Amino acid sequence: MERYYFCKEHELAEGEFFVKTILDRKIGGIKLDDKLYFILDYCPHAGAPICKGKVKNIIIKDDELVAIRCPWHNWLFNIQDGLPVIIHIKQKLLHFHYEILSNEIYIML
Amino acid sequence: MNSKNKIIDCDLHNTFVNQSMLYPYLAKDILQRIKTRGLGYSQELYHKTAANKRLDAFTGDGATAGSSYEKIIEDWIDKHGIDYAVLTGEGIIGISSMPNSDIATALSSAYNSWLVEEWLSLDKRFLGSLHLAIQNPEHAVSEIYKWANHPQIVQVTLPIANTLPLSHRFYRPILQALNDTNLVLSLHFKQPTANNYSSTPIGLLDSYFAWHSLICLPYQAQIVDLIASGVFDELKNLRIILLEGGFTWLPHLLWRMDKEFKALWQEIPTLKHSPSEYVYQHFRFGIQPKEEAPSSDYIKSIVNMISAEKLLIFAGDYPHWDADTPDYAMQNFIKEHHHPILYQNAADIYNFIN
Repeated sequence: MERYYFCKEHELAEGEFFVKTILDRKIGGIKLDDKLYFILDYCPHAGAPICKGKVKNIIIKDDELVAIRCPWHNWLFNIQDGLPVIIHIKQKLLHFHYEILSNEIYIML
Repeated sequence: MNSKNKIIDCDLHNTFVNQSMLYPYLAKDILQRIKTRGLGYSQELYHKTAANKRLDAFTGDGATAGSSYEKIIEDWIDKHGIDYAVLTGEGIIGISSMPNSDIATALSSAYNSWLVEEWLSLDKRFLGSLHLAIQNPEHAVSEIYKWANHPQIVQVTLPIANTLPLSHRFYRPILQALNDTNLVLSLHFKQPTANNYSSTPIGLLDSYFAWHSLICLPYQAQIVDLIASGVFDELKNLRIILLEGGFTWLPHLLWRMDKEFKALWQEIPTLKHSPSEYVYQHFRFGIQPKEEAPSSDYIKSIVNMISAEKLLIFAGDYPHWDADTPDYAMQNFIKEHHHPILYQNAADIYNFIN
């Protein structure tokens, strides 16, 4: 695993994906409630640029989660764990680990 | 994009940035009425939860997806190596449901002129589909004859379900004109409206999910009705493309019609061939939206059962939310079938010379 520079800490906005290509992979970074998440910008369904979709608060019964809605076929994935919002979908998002050094974010690849 | 096949996309939804772009093509008195109420054709009955168009198909300047030539070329035509794309419009299919037939016919003429002058002229790869106001067959026929000789006009688009079945004599002049001018008829679905209610035989259902799951129903009905009416024995040149209705239900329909025919042929005495034979001669099926079975082998089996590689054509449906890229769509078919489906079947039905 190696570190690849992604962006400065302050460049990630709350609730909005920032996409960057690292080693031919499009990776989307997002800040949710001050926590950071990095996912592959590729929907496991049909390969859509999923970070171009809408970040939505989804309410299921009494639970609430923050999901990304794929811009193509409407599939929803929980951004925090990458799992599909409904059990009938078997695919999930690919996450990346990151490190912060001197206010700079690095993705582990 | 790694598909090396030649590709004809039979269903690309172009549109105007906003309705005022049709104004130059409308007569003053019609324009005066439209300016106060908008173009007026209804499109959406359901509060659906899917966005109508892919969210990445918008150019970000407020214009609607499918209205920018450059974005269509970048996002779709060049990206996927599409050789030809048939422009099928967006929403304009609603004119056939408008109660004001004078406005409907004015919009039909305006759209067709706008299509030819502002889209087909942009790119030789664009082919055009005329939109007709089916409630006025005389006007529809005049539009067909007006544009049939344009080298890029290859077909007309009508809704899959209308006030009457398509075989009804009221619409016959339209089918006759298509037969005589060599244009293809493409049938595309649209949401139910006030006078075009026929979404399911059990009535209007509650959700877009329910309606969208049952899209195949009017397609099956038009196939059976047109064949049984004997229209193909009369109009031997009539070719029909069914867009977005699916095809994996075809084995049932073909086997069923042929079985019923053996018992009930006296009801349709004009038929010269078995009913299924007419499907191969006169119908083609766009493959979008992609069938998602537990295994693509099941789809391949179905194709095998009925030689569907003769019947299927690639349709992308860009920029709608459930559009399929060529590579994604081809996952359901064996390699030998890619060329016919992506290119040759459409080239044949449009009578391409080269």
